[in-house]
Amino acid sequence: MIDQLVSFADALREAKVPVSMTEVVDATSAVRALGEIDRPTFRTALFATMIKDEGHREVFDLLFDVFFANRHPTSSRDEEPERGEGGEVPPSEAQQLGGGGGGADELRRMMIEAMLAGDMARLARLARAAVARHGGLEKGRAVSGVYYAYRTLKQLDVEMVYAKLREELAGTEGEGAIGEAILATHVEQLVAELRQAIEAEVRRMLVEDRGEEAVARTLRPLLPEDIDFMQASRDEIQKIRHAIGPLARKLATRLAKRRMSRRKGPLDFRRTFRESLGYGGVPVKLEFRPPRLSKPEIFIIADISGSVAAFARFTLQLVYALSEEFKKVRSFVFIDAIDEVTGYFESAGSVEEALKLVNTRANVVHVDGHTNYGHSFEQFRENYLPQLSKKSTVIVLGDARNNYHASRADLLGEIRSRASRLYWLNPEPASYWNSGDSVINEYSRYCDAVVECRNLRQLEAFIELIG
Amino acid sequence: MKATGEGFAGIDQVSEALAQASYLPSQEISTTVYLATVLHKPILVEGPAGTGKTELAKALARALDAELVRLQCYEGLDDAKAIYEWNYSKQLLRIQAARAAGEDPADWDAVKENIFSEEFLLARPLLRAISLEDPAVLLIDEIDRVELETEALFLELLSDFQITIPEFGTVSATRQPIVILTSNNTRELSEALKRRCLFLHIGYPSKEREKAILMLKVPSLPEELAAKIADFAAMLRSLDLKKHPSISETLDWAVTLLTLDAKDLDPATVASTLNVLLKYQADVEKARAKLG
Repeated sequence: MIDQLVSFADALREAKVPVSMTEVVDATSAVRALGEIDRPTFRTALFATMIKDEGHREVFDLLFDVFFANRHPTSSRDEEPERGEGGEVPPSEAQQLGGGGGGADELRRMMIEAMLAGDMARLARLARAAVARHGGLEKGRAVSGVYYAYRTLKQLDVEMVYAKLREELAGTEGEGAIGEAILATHVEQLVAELRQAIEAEVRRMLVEDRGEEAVARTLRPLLPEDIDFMQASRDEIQKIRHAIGPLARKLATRLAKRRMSRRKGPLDFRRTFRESLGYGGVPVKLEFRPPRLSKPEIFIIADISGSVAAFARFTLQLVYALSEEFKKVRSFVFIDAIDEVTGYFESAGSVEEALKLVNTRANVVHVDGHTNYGHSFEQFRENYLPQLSKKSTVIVLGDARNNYHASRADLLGEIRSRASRLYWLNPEPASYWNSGDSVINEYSRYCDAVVECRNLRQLEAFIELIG
Repeated sequence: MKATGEGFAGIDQVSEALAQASYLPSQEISTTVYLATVLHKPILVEGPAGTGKTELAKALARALDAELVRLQCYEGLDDAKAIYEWNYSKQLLRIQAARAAGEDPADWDAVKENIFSEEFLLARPLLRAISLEDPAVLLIDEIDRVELETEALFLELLSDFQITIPEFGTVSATRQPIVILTSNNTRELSEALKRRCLFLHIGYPSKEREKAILMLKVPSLPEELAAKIADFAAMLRSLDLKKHPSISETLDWAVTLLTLDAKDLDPATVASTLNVLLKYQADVEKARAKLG
C-alpha cells in the first residue's frame, strides 16, 4: 500500500499540489490507525493528511479515483457489493434489462430511479453497464476518456434525463417561483451526480486497461491557477472565476503587509508605554504605528476582442477585487475603438454585472470590429492622455495581434512618457510573440516590462510586482 | 458510551459524542477529529464564515468534558500574550519585600532563583493548555490574523507539545491537549505550520445535515419547514453571489420565520426576509430576480 501512496503523492506533485515526505508518512500512519475502513473514510484520511488547501480538492479527488478506484486500500477484498461477469451488468439488473435488450431508454429509466432514491451504489453499477454498452472504449489508447463519457451521456440523452427528472419531481418542492428554483437546483445536482458516476466509471475502465500512472499522466489535472486563459473550456473558466476571489483576498493581505513593513509610521504611545513596564517604566523599545503609504493609481487598457476576451475579463475581475489596494482603478476597453468603462464597475453591484454592461454597452467598434491597437491608442491619446500623471501605472492587456494595421507604437511612447510606469500583459506563450500579425516587439521598447500572462499564477505574480 | 478525556474509541463514537454536545458533524469532520486524537496532531480548520469552525472546538470540549482554552489571534499578537509573561510587578514586590524583611540584598542568586520560578510566571493560553492537569481542548482562533513570523511561536507547541522558557527550562505537556486552529484563509499559512496539522475544510452542509442542524438548534421548527429552508438555502448557494448564506444565517432565518409564524415559504414572506439570509443588497436583488 505504501508503494501506491507514494506514486499517488508523485502524481499529486506532478499536478503542482505540494505533498511533503512527512505528509506521506502521516497518511500511512493514519490509514494504519484506522484499520479496516470504507472508501469515503479512506479518502478523508488521505485528504486530511496530504492536502492543506481546499483549492486542491478537485485534483485530489480526480487522482484518488484514478489510483484507488479498482482496489480496496486496506484489504485485497473487492469492495463492489455486486459484480456481474467481466464487469458487465450484475445479474439482478440484467434481469430487469430483459437479457441485455431494453436499450438506452430502459437504462435511463433505472438510473433515474436510482438517482431519485439516492442509491449511489446502484447508480454506479448502472453507470458501469451504460459505459460498457455505449462508451465504445478501445483498449490501449492513451486518451483521457472525455470522449467516452460524452458518447455514453449522448446515448442516454441528457436532455431526456432532465425532462424525466423534472416530471418525476414536479410539485414535490412546492408551487410558484420558489418551488421552481429549488426544483431546478435539485435536478441540476442529480444530473451532476449522473455525470460524475459516468466519468468515474470511464476512469475506472481506463485504469483497468492501462494502469494508474499512465492514466494520471494523460488526464493531466490542472489547478485553477495553472489553467491557460486562452484554452480554457467553459468548465475551466468557471473554475478560474471561482478561484479569483480567494486569490484576491490573499494577494490584498500580502500587498497591505508589504506596504506596512516598508517604513515606520508615527510613535505608538500606548504600545511603547506598555512595553516600558517591563523595564521599570523606561521606554527602552519604541513602538510605531503602521504608516500610511500612497497607493498606485492604475489605468487598465484592455483588448476585449474574441481571442483574448477571457484574459481581459479575469484581469479586470482580479484588479477590481483588489481595488482597495489601489488609489484608483480606471479601465478602458477596446476592439478597434476605445471606451472608458470605469463607471460600469462603480455603479454595478458586482464585477459580473459590470462585465455584462461592458459587453453590451461599451462603444468599442469603429469600423469593422477587428482589433486595431493603433486606432485605439490614438483615441486614448485624444481623450484621456492629460489625465495620466506621474502616479499612474498603465497596464495594457492584449496579444498585440493588430490585423496588419499600423501599430502606432509612437503613441504608446507618448503614454509612457506621461505615466510613471507602463506594463504590457500578453496572454500568449512567449514563443508565439512576433509571429504572424503580432507586433509586440514594436510596442515592447516603450514598456517597462512585457509579461507573459497565461494563467492565474502568472497574473498573481505580476500584480504583486506592481502593488 | 460516554467519551472520556482519554479520547475516542472510533469514528462513530466521535459522531455520537459530538451530537450529544449538540454539534452534528459530517462524516469527514468525525473522521478527521478521530485521526487527530489517535495521531496526536493539531487540526487546521478552514471554511467560509459561519459554518461552525469555532463551534467544533467548543463542542469537542463539551463532548470530552475538557476545559476549552482559547487564544484569539490578532495582528500584533506576541509571545507575552500567547505563551507566557513574567509577572513584573509581583517580582518587584518580592524584591522589595525581601529587602524589608532584612534579607541580604547582595545575595542576588537566591533572589534570581526565587523570582524566576513558576510562582511569578503568568501562563497565557498556550502554556496554560499544556500545563492543565485535566483534559483540555486548545482553540487557536483565526490564526491567519497573525503575521507570518508570529506563526513560529506556535510551532514548538504544535509538533512537540512543549514550550521552552529560557530562564526556566522546557515545559512539556502533562497531558496532550487536542489542538484546533481555525483560519479564514485571508493569507497563505506557512508550510511549517501546515505540515504539522491535519487539514479539515468545513464547507456548507448537505441538505440533510442542514435540516438536522436546524431541527436540533431550533427545536420548535416543524420538520417540513426545516426541509424547505434547507432546500432553499441550497438553491441560494448554487447562485453566483458575493456571499452565500452560511448555517448561522439559515438558523437566523428559521427563527425569523418562526417569529413571523410562517407555515410555508410563501413568496411575500421570503421576499421580505431575504435580507436575513443575504448580507449584500446586490445579492438580495439577484435572488429576487431569480424568484420572479
